[in-house]
Amino acid sequence: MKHMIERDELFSCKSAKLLILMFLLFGICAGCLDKDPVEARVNTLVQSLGDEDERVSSLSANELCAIGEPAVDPLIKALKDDNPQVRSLAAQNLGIIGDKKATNSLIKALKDPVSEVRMNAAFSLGQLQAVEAVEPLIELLKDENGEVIRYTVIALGMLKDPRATEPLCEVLKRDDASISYDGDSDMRYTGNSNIRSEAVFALGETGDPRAVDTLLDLLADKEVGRSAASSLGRIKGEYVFGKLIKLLDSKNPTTRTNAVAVYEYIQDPAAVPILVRMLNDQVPEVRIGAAYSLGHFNESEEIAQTEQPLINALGDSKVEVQAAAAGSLGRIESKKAIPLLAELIQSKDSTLCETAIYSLARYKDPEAADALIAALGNENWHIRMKIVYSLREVGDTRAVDPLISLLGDESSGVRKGAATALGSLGDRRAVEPLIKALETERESDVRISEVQALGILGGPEAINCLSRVSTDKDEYNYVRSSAEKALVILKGGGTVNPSSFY
Amino acid sequence: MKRGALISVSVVLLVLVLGGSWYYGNGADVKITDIYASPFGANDPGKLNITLQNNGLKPVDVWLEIENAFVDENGVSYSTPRLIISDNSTGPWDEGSVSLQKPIKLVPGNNSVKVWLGYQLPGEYPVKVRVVQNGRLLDEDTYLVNVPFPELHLKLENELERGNTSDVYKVYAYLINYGLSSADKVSTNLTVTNERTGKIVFTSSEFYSVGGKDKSALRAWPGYPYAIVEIAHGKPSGDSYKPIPIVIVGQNGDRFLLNITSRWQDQVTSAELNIPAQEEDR
Repeated sequence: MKHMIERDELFSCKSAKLLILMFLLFGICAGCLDKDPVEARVNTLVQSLGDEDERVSSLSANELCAIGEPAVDPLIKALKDDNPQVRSLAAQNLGIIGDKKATNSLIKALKDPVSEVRMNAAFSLGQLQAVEAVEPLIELLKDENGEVIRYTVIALGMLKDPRATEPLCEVLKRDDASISYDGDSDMRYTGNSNIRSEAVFALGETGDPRAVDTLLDLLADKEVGRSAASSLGRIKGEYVFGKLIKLLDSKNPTTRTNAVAVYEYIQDPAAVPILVRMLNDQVPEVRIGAAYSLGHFNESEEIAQTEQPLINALGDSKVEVQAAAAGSLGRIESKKAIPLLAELIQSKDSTLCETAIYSLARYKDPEAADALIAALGNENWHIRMKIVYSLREVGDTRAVDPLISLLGDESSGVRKGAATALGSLGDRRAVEPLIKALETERESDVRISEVQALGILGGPEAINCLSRVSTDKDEYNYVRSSAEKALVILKGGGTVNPSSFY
Repeated sequence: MKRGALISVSVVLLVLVLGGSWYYGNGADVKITDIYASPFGANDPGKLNITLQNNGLKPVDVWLEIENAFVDENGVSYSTPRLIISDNSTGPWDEGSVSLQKPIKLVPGNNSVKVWLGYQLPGEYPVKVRVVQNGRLLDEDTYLVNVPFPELHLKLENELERGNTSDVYKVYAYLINYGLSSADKVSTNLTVTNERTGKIVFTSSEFYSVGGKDKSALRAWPGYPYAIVEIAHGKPSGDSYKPIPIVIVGQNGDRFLLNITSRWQDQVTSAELNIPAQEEDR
């Protein structure tokens, strides 16, 4: 009892109260001083998002993204900032950071009075894969601002939700749907983009069969028809087959061209006879598409139907059709076509010539390799170089001797290709010629390939040569460092491969 | 009055004691125990290896402040927003790079961190490292980074192609750098003198660049020589040798002296080549 009285007296004392007050103040000050430094920096960076200097605001945004999770709550708070630039960049960065905690706040930001904020919030919700945002995003498709709608369409495409199918079909009918905007580096496209093209892409992303009819109608569209074909290819399914095949007989050449293109993505055996027939279509674009699509049917029964018509298409009056047929013959690895493709290498048309080379390289077959080797004497260095790289793909060691001869080619591109190919083929017969070539080769690019090939081939002679190169003060830096890298691996008992040098 | 003064003094003392203990007693015991940088050249990224010793028993978060980590050609030093790298980082913008907007967590004992360095010109740069926690300096040290100068040399070579009507000399020229630092805008002058007449027949001036421990072929077009010297036995071939811009055409009996000189800052280097060489005379 006595103690209680004493304590009461103490607390009633003014000086004691002052003391307690001092303690409290000190505690608050210490608390402030000890504030989390990350939080303090995040707050500073968030404020800098509103800086008038775009470099400052942009760098602040980058740093906030680098900080990541600790920046999420302050950015969510920034969605209510008075400065629209801060809200806009906050919305954008929340999508980049990718924390779903921001979903509800971003959904609320879809109603922001500033269009740029709505636009970034919509895009970020797509990045977050926030399915709960599908309905609010669909609602946003009624926005008055075309850019907001375009970004919303992109976001719905990212969400791949079939609930968006009908609204996306509706948005295609908007008057401003064809207005193109400059591509944005943050987006999928770098070229022009508009609401229609994005909606067509998004419909393909939903994979919803209900989009098929709209997309089939769009095959007649010169602007987005090709994109619609690609989207139909992603939807696939029997439902597409029946309706699509009828369009192959359309009187509209754009429809036929785009309908044919769908078969690059989906292979309906019932379409083969029609596509074969379309190799004789009067419109070259249709014939090109048919020739190209026929190369994607790879079942033996289908190949039996397509091979000869494609060979016949090599005689088409249009070089582009010939090239498409040549490419498809390579894709189906038609043996009958090898001599014909070999002939095409001599064509004066570079596209046709290159397609023939690439097609022959697909075979991985001695006869095709022979055809390529025989064409190495082509007077065009560009063609010789393409053949050299194709021989590397074929991997036939009969190419070693011809490639060794090409180490002395007048074109440095061909010499470089030959050295690279010799390394890839892995035949040690090439070691001595490569060492000899290094004695006189002046081009750094070629020397690098020769050194790398020696590293890959290995062996005592190669190691000796690489040792000399690695200590030559007058050597190109990268040549020397390539030799050093190869030596480290070889002396350690390892195997050098092309990736060892990167 | 006496009682009031006593209380005031007590309050001031208490504040001082608490403030002092907060300031000095709460700071982490972290020291810089080692700093070193392997040699590197100008315009190349270098790494400053810093060993930080946390003498405490618990991990602590500290911030690094680096001065003079990057200095441009005008001597302007840049701030260090993004310099700390992990051991396996190979480039300043790799995933291993850590923003300086975040603190570094130091475990008890020795901790190794690396910081990117970069200088556009050779020279000596004092790099100051400060270890800070909550605005409080824990330790600091300065390391003198020496960025060496390039060592430039020139080399002239030729290949002879004998023909029926003329001899064609393909001249190859190289700017070789034995030093670690690259050299940009190396002023290079060519003078060709016909020693038979004593007249200068060609001059040219170009700028070239060469990396550290590297060489550059001096030429206008990849795959082509630096210059062509044609010694005609009768009528010159008339070949323009395009796209080679340096073409000298002479007659039997002419002897050309090619002198090439390169200058970069205070360094001057040169090389000479006689065409045809004396032993080639016929």
